[in-house]
Amino acid sequence: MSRAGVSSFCAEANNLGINVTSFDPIYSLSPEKITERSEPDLEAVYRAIGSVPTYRWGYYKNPDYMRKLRKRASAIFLSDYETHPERYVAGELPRLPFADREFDLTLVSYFLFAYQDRLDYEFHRESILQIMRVTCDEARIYPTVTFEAQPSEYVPMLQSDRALNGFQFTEIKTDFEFLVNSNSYLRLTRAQLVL
Amino acid sequence: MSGDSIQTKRGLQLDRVVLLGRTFEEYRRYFLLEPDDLIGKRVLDVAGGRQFLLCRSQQPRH
Repeated sequence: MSRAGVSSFCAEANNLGINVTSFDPIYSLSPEKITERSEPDLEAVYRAIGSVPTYRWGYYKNPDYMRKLRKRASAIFLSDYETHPERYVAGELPRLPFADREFDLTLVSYFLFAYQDRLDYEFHRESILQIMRVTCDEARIYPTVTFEAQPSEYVPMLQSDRALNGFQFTEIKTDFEFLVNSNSYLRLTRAQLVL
Repeated sequence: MSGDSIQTKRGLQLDRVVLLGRTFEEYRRYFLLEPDDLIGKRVLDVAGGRQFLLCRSQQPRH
C-alpha cells in the first residue's frame, strides 16, 4: 500500500553510497502539499488495518508501531526531498523519462499487482516494457499478490505474453510477510539468447 | 476522495494508491537487498500515480 512516495529508502540508500533516484507523480508537489496528502493516508490505514485479517504483525508488532515507523520514514523523506530535490523525479507509469539502460536495478513496491483491480493488464505490460527499457540488469516487483492476499493472475499472463518474450520472469521467495502471501518478489531479467 | 473511503472487506480496500513512508530496512526485506553489493550502483525506485488512477477509474472497465 505504498510506492516510492514518501519512503525514506532513497535518502537512506544515498547516505550509504547507493545512487538511488525515486520516481513518483507526487514529486511535482511542494513538501507541504505532500504532507497534506500523506498524513491523512497514514491515519486512514492506521485506523483500518488492525481489524483486517490479511496481515501478519510479526515485524510491525501492532498498528501503533507501524505508524511510528511510517512517520519516521516520511520525516526522513521530507528532509531529503528539500535538500536533494535532484534525487526525486516526477512522472507516472507507464512513461519513464529516463534513458535506455540508465539503471542497474529498478524496484517497484506495492504498486503493480497489488492494485490490479485498479490497473488493467495493458497498464502492467506497458509498465514492464518501460521498466526494462531503462534497466540494464534487473528489475524487482514486490509483492506478487493483491491486497486480498491472492496471487495476481497477471503474473502468469505476463510470463506467457509474446510482447515480453525477451524477458525472463522468476518468482523469488523471501522471509518477510506482512500482507499475507507477500513473501516473494518477481525478478525480471533479459532472457539469455542461445545462438 | 478522503481517507474515510478506506474500508475493510476481505483485505484492506483502497480506492486509490495511498502515500505511506517505508524505510530502507523494509525495502531490504521486501527485495532481499544486500546493501554492500549496491554501493555505487544506479537504482530506480519507481511508482505510478494517484492522478493516473483517478483518470483511469473514470473510464469504463472492460
